[in-house]
Amino acid sequence: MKAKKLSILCAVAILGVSAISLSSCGGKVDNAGEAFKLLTIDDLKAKGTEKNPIVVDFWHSFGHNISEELEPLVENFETEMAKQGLYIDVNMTAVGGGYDGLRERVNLGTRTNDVPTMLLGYPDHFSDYIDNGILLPLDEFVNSTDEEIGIDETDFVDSYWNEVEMKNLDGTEIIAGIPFNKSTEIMYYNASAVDPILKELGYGEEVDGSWVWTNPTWDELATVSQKLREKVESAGGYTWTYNKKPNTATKTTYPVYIDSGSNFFITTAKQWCTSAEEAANVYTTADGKVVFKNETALAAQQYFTEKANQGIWNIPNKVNQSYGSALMNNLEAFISIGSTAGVNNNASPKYELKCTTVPQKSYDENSFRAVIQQGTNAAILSSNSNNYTRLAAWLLIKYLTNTENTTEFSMSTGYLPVRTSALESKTFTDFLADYNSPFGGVTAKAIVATNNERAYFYTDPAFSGSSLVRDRVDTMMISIYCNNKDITEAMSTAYKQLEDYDIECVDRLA
Amino acid sequence: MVEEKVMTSEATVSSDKFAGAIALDGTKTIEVQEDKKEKLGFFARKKKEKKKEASQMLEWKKDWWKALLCLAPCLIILGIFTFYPIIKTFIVSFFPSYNYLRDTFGSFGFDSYVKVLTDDVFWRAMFNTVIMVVVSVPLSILIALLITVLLNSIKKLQGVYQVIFFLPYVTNGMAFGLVFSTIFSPMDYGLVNTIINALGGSSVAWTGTAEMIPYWAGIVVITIYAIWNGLAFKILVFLGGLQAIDKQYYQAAQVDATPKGRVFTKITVPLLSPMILYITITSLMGAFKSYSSVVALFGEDMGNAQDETFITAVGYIYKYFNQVTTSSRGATLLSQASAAALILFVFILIITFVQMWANKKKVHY
Repeated sequence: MKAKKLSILCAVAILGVSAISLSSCGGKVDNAGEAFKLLTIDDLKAKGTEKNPIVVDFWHSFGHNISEELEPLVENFETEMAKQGLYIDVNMTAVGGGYDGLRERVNLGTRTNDVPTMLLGYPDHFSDYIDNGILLPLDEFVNSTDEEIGIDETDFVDSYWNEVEMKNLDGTEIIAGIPFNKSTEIMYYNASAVDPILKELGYGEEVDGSWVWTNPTWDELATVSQKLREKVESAGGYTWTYNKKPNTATKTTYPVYIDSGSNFFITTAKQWCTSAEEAANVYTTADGKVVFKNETALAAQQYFTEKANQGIWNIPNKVNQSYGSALMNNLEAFISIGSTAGVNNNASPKYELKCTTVPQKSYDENSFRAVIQQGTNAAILSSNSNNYTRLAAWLLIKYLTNTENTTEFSMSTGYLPVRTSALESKTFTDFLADYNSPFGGVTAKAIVATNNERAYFYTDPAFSGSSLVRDRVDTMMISIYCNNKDITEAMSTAYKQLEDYDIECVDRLA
Repeated sequence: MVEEKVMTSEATVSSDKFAGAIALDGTKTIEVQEDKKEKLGFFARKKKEKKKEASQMLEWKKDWWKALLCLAPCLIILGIFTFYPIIKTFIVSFFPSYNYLRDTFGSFGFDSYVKVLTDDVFWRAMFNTVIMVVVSVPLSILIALLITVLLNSIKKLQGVYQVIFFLPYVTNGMAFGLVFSTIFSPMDYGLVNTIINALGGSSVAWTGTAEMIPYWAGIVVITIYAIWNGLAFKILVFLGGLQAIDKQYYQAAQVDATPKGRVFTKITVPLLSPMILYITITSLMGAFKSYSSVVALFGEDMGNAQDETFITAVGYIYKYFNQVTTSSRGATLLSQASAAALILFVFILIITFVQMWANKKKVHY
């Protein structure tokens, strides 16, 4: 009897231990990873019931504010589908650690098949998923003649669509994802402090009673920044209080902060080029070679570091911060260059926020202009999905990126609409037209600021390891701007680190 | 003849074994007989032991499954989370192109070991680790020992002081990090910088990305962190050992009017030596495995950007291990991380053996 009790106890313990040990393995759906076959909407209707709906796991990495804007759209999708007899249950998961955290989670889950049906990610993340054989090409969905399934790819903004056309493992071109949330960089400034200086210097013009700074150049920004420094040092002229002491550990404070080190490096390297061809080969090449150690990128960084040493601008890391917006909010900075999606973080009741385009090296006819276009795309993974969940996920992607929803998502978040029809829609143009009125939101201000930049948008070529290159460039910029490392030496160190990953690095300074 | 008998008997009496038998008549004959008896007894005992063993084996044969069942939960956990990873680490280290994401091995080779051993960053990591071990371990043990002795000699509020010194042991690491980031903030408002500025000096970039952190400053911060972090446990162990020492030794020293320093070196330290050895070995192992403290203080770059100035041996392992899921390009770096882990394992093993051998004569059990 005693032995029997002991056996039961031990058996329970073993089961418990096994359950705990195996709990990290992801739950697979029926027929997970089955060969792709395009089903019909009727197939889907027949499969999902009210009690047993088709479950779509959707991973993203939005913070609380953006998630709150996305959730109602997803709920509307479920409701609308249910009305049509399609029972789809979307499980949204916000993965921590940003989009890099999401990519790591997916890479980690690839071995145990703990991956979602669909997710958002950057093109270089999709390269990883293609390498790992888990990304589902969306060509058949996009090109389907069934109106309820197919979409008009020509309606998507060209530069966004080009980004999602990627090479599969066998070299064939596939549609790896659908553009979802897109942003670019703009320049935010504290108009209460900056406008008087702009007027004094004659930069910009008055439009409808408001001073507007259009097409700024880096030289102009440097002059404005120098003036701001002088005014701060003589402690006068502002309605707001500059109440923070300059940091003596870092020797100085800066009126201008430029958020992303890697974007800063790539954008300025391109702006220092003289042609589109040169600009396409100044950072990485389309075939995955790293080439940023070159005369043009070096010249650009020499210009910026010289000004940084004069206290004109810097990256937020120089004062132990991640974003310039925090410094703007604390009245420790006047100007910040960052993503349009960060518009709400830059706004503050302490000052009037204005937005303009990212400065260019020059607006001369012969100059090359560049502003990064960034943001994630939606993709479907094949390994932990079957043909039913894939079609359900596709319908969700189609719904979220339709003209109406991409417009709504854009107006509430500051991301840019991904469809031309949305950009031209009355709802959106009315929203933007109102940007300068007292009722116009800061989001509209940010989006309007991108109007003049759209012609200069560029995207990074995505290849396996391109995200690693960006990481190393970010670190390199901290090394240059915070640790005063020689630019060429910092570039060489970054190359050495990248070679650990067998990424081909071409030294054009050698 | 009688004398001879007596002598023989005296010689034999000295042996406890035959004392009873000799007491009867004390003759050589008896001695031989006893020897025979003893031999017979030895065989009988052996036979008995064998029988016992056999019966035990029978019991084992009957109940082995119970034993196995009882051990199974432990064995499963150890198997999955300890033995399997160790074995896999060992195997993977010899397959330089092992791909973690695809679980493909490629060809056998020593390339990962060659890569690690010829990597400047690895030797910098080892150097930093050795510096941390050499500086922080003896200092922390010495400070812990002194605090323990002081705590033990305090009569009033002893419990309160013990709680104060033990608090860091139950404090969350994040809270620890926050406290240190305030104390050693590179900004003017950092506690240490405030004191330095008040004394007329200029602020030092102890942590953060803003400025190049001087090497000495980084090592000072890590050492203080390591000492503070490990102090509570060491005090706890020493206090337990100290309170177990027989008071008679101290009373005898008091009678002889022995100076306090001599009491400490001649009574306290020798009698605490098993604890000191235990703490030294565990502290050494802990210091060799330093990683989280460096990340908590300097971030994932473990020091100045690009340079990984304060990278440790375990930090080096993690640097490559973390890349395994960062990119499909990094998926093949597990072999290098495994090779570094095994090199560190051998290094710690050798140091521990040397230490145990060296301390053998100085430890009083």
